[in-house]
Amino acid sequence: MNRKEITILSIITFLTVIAWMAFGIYHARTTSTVTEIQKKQIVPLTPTFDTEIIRQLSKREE
Amino acid sequence: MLPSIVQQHYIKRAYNRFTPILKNKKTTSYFTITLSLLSLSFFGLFAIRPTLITAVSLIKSVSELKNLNIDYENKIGSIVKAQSEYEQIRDNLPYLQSALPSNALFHKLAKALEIFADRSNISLNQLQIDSVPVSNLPSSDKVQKYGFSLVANGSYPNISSYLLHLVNWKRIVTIDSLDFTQDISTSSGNIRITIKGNTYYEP
Repeated sequence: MNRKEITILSIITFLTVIAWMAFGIYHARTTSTVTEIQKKQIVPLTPTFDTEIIRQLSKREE
Repeated sequence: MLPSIVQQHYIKRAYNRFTPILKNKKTTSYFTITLSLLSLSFFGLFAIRPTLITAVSLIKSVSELKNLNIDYENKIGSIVKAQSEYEQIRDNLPYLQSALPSNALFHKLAKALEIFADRSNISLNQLQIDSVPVSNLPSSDKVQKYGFSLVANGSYPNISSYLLHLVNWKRIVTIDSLDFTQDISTSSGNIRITIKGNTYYEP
């Protein structure tokens, strides 16, 4: 193995490590830390009731 | 004392070994580049990568938790508002329970159909209700329905009154089909009606 081959090998190793780092950072950026339970809990809630329907129901026959 | 001598010996040996090689300028450059890249790779893999990943994960967590906090605040606000609105309509909740009961209550359906027939002065000849679970079903957000069909006869105004009772009943009932035929068995001019409908409940 001459000096040129060793240098090429070290360049390839370096590039592999850089790619690995980039992939790791991308993975860390895209992976959400919010759990499924939390996602369920934050589903918006409509805090109004349709009083018109209730009024109409109250007029109906027993 | 002994380790120091050994160290010096090894350093001297390495120096003697590398000195002739490093006299060549090109070799020195290759050696420097290779050593730099290998050390960068080593530290990149074992020190820089974990540090950067941890930093990025923490930044992302902070941002997500801030958003989560805002969402929770909004949800709490909505729940408080819903609670106050719920208090206002609390007295009217039985109407909702009557409209959409939590179990099938088929016996109440049958009773109501009979009472309406009695009130409208028509005779109920046949009543059939689809099979429904008698026991309480596990809670779900899905509205369930079951069908019923009935055959009755009476005069047109009385049948009309019966239908009015049915559609104005508190419990939600939908009529799928209405079939009017002249009752030929009697000469009273009565009409024979077949109603097919559905009613609903939410376990």
